Amino acid sequence: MGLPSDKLKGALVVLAAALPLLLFFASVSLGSISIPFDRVLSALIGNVEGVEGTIVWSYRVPRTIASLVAGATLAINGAVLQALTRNPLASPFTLGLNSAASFGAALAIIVGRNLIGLGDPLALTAAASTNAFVLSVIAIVVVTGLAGLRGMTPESLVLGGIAIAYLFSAATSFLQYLAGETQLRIFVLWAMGDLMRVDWLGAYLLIVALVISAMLSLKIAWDLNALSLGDETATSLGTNPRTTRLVGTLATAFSTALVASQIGPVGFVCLMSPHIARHLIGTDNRYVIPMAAIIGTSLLTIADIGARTLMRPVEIPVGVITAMFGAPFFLGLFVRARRQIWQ
Amino acid sequence: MRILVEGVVVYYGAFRALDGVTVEFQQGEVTAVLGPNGSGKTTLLRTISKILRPEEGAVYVGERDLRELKEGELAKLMGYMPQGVESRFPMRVWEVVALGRKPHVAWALTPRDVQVVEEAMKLAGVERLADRYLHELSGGERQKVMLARVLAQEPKVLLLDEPTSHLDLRYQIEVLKLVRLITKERGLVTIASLHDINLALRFADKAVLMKDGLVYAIGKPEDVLTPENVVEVFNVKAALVKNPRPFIVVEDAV
Repeated sequence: MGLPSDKLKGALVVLAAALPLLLFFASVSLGSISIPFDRVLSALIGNVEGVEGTIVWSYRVPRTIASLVAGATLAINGAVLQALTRNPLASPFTLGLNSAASFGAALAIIVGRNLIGLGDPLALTAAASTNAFVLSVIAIVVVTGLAGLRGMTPESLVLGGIAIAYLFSAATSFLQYLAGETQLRIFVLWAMGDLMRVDWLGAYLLIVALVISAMLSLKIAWDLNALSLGDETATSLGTNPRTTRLVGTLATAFSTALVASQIGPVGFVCLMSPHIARHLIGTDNRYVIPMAAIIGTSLLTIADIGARTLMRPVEIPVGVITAMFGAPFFLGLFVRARRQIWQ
Repeated sequence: MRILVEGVVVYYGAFRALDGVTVEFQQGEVTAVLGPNGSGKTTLLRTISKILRPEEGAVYVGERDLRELKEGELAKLMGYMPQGVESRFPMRVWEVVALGRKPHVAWALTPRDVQVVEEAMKLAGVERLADRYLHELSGGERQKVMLARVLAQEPKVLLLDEPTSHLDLRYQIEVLKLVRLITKERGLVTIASLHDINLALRFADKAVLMKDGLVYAIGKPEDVLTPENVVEVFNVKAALVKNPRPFIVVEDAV
């Protein structure tokens, strides 16, 4: 067999992109109150007034946009960070971002501090989001700064991230210890990650996150490929490992921070999607990135549909679903195809 | 085109790995860089490929100072094959070789790029392995894949760090024959660090013998790789045999 052509892989990506499109309609239609497809369609073109119109436009559509966009962003970020650190187990959370975000949310929910003092101090969600974002950005600056001191090597990024993660986890545990029962409950819900809280503003912010991470990751796709054979080979191929790692880390971390601030620390999508993508389409990041995005977007949306419907009318936080179904699935993949995925 | 290394001093932390090296490499010649472990062979290759920046001195590619060459520009001119390259991801052989085209493409591989990749795999004798995973291959096969990768880059300057270290006897000879042929055909400047002095005697146009970060001797392989020099640089007892071409027999450590 010769080289599989770029066209073939491009076609595969386009074909796979039909899945999120179908999921969009399913996600708008299904929930604690299910709306038949034809009513969804007419609501989408503006023909349905009343309760169903409100459900579709005020709740389901922003929420569906959120799951599609956040899933894609997390998956892309996972792919980029795995390539940057040459570590198949890396994810944005390896950089300590989920711990930082959770600590930020805990500050808002338990201590009642909104770090930049915007918005209604009683609006816990808004305060939790802002704090989560601010703390994540601080974590990014600290981790990339520390790694920069050590030449931006893969090890320095991962070690810096792990140290930061432990630090923030400890701080969060301390706050949880101090918290009252109600606060604790609210915080635990936040920290599991869910899409209930996303409104239109949140959906727009998530779109910003996706644009940042998609554009920058595709721009450095060839550099990510070059890095897979080590920094020396990459350098000889015209890639500057330091700059690539700096740009890639900042882009992924910043967009992950936006995502975490809106939906909480939802795990597994960022870790899993790039592996499935590589399994389907090879290791060329020009295709891994879009393919991972499609897989991530589908996984998170399916998970969110499950979150709304499995225990109807009670909602399950989507983070619980991704972890509960993601972990066994991931293990299955690990056992069946370990040589192809982990060398 | 030639490569001129002029008074280069390179440090690893406080260790002076290259201690003022001056040497010139010519077009259409295979130059073997020899010397014991830690003598500065790899450091010299890393400096020429701009992976390391010299503390003093300069490297010239043709008439141009290496420092002036942009990363992308340099990658089109110069290919470097480091030792022991692996991937943590399940890369297929052709994906690895196709990376050689990176300096030449903006996004997509053109049909010509694909042709160059296939040609490079054929030259290095790895076209049968195209669909295999890199991590499933033997050390020697992997080394040939890396050679194909650097050939696919179509460089004018070919830097090879121990290109034969994992190869069996037959492929040591085949690979060096190939490197020599391509160097002549394409008019390349080829610099290869080697451990085997006899391979250098047989395949190199020029030899650079290094010791303690300095060039100890330079010139035609048979003039440089004399028993006296080998004894002095490698700390071994050696004798010269003519069979009919010169061959160094290493008898014992000193």
